[in-house]
Amino acid sequence: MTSKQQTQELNTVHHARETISEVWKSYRKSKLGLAGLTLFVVIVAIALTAPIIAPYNPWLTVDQPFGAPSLSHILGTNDAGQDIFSELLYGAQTSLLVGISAALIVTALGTIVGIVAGYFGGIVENLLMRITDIFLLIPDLPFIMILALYLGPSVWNVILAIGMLWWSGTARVIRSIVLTVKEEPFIESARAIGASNRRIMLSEILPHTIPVIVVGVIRFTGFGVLYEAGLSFLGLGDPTAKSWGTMLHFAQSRGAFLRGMWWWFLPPGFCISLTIISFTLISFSLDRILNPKMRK
Amino acid sequence: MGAVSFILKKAAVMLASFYVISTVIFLLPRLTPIDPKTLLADNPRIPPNIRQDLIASFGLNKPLIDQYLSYYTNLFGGNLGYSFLYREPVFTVLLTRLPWTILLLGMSTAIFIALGIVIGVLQASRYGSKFDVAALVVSLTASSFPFFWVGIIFIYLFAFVFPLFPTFGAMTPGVTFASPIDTIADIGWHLVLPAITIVIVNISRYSFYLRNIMVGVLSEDYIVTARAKGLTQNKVLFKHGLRNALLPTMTMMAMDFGFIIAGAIFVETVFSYPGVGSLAYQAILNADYPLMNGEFILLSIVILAANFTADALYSVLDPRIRKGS
Repeated sequence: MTSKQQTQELNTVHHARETISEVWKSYRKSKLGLAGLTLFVVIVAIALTAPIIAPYNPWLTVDQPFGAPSLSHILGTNDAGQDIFSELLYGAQTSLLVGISAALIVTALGTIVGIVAGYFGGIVENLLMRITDIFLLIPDLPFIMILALYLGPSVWNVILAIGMLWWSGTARVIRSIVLTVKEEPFIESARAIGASNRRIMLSEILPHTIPVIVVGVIRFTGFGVLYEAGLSFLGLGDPTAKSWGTMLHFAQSRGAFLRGMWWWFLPPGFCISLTIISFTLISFSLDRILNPKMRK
Repeated sequence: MGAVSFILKKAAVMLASFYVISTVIFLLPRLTPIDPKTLLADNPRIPPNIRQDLIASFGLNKPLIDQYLSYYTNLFGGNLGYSFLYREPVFTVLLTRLPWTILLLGMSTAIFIALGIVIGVLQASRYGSKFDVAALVVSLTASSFPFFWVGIIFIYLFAFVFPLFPTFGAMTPGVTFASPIDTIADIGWHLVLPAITIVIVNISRYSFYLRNIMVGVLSEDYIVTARAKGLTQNKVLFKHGLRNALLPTMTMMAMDFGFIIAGAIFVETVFSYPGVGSLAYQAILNADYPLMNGEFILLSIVILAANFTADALYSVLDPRIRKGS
């Protein structure tokens, strides 16, 4: 690396830091944003420390089945005599894992397609955008269900199916940003000094799409959590993984609500809702700061 | 671009999408290591003569390209295979279940869109007031609830705590009512909980959307003029304001169809409602491959048709869109 390039890299890093601290300054003022962020930190902390803070191993039978809440089991026990509170804490791991992985795949795919289509234009753009149109029209839940039928129920198949479907919306938005950025004079100058297409796309165009990418990742993580819960509820997730959706699946199939065991089916639902609320609040507040032009 | 060529272009996209989706459905059973004959025709529940018919009509012993051609010939003839679970042609099974879903979704969709519009317009007219903020908080919370969880809570409340409404099926099983009015009442009674569940989870997206659009519309000059003319508040809001917010709402509805159908799959499953949504769940649960393939084709057609209708209507009603694309 030449020294000139190094200075340039340092400038970029410095610039990025400055931007982040500026965004944080305005973000701090938003009460809703802070509430969402606090919730998010709590959920992540629970997911990371579940093995330490959970009172029992959620995969082991530790007491009588169908137990009511008591001092030793604050949310009672399920049909297999497992501690429901411990299941709930471990459930945060699966939900976040699926949500975040799916969101990263979706945004990465959407960004690549959007930038390539917008930058090259012509036949490439036409072809990619027609493919995008088709993907936008595929009914997502039935598609994920049919994939799970042929591939077998597993957490990774859920992530794969979500990733394969949801990129199309992101690709459209990213492409429209690239179309405006492409006309800016600095792209012309980069080309004039002989920068390759790959370099222009990565270091000149990509940075302009970051605000949309960041908000997208957060928003899709929320959707991913909701879909993971739904698919596991339908029995399409890994039945041995502890997730909030799987807990509700067993609560339904073992008749928890006909036995009046609210302590079994209410907490997982609240956890799913709170997680989704936290992602909605964060993405809503960030969107107002990062993409003020897109607000109407 | 004229309205006709715009509609033709949209029709081409729709047909291309249908072609891709149906090809995926053809390929899926053939990409697994298992013989497609096993997946599509071999099941202990299928009578031997029907198995022979299936293998012959779908060309399951022939090369892949012949299978592909037979697949499309059958598809356009309405032959979607034979359901292992129901021992009937998939097409027949889907057709007997479809009316229930149309009834449930039609009713609840009409309710949540109407309520969503009214609440959204009222919020916009009282922008920033206590009512507006309260409605925002409620809708944010409601939209974060998973469909099936709301259904579970209703079943708990109305089967266990206050046994008021039926929580299972579309009609009381084994009862023949003397008059058609009693039958309709029974069907309506069974609709209450699933319909309320769908309304609760969907309504907030529409109220939120309408509120944001109407806030913009209400600051336009023609609204100020309408107010200055001394029209009543309701007339200004619902006649002059809402008219301009309805077009984008229509597009949102079409884009939303996939979400509404996903909701129906969850809600029908939770309440064991005998529509095509809970049928998809049954197909997965029983590894009924032909049935799930047929489900996917049916739901795709519904979504494609909804999008196409919205695009076509929009292009006729709003000439600006044709120039935009």
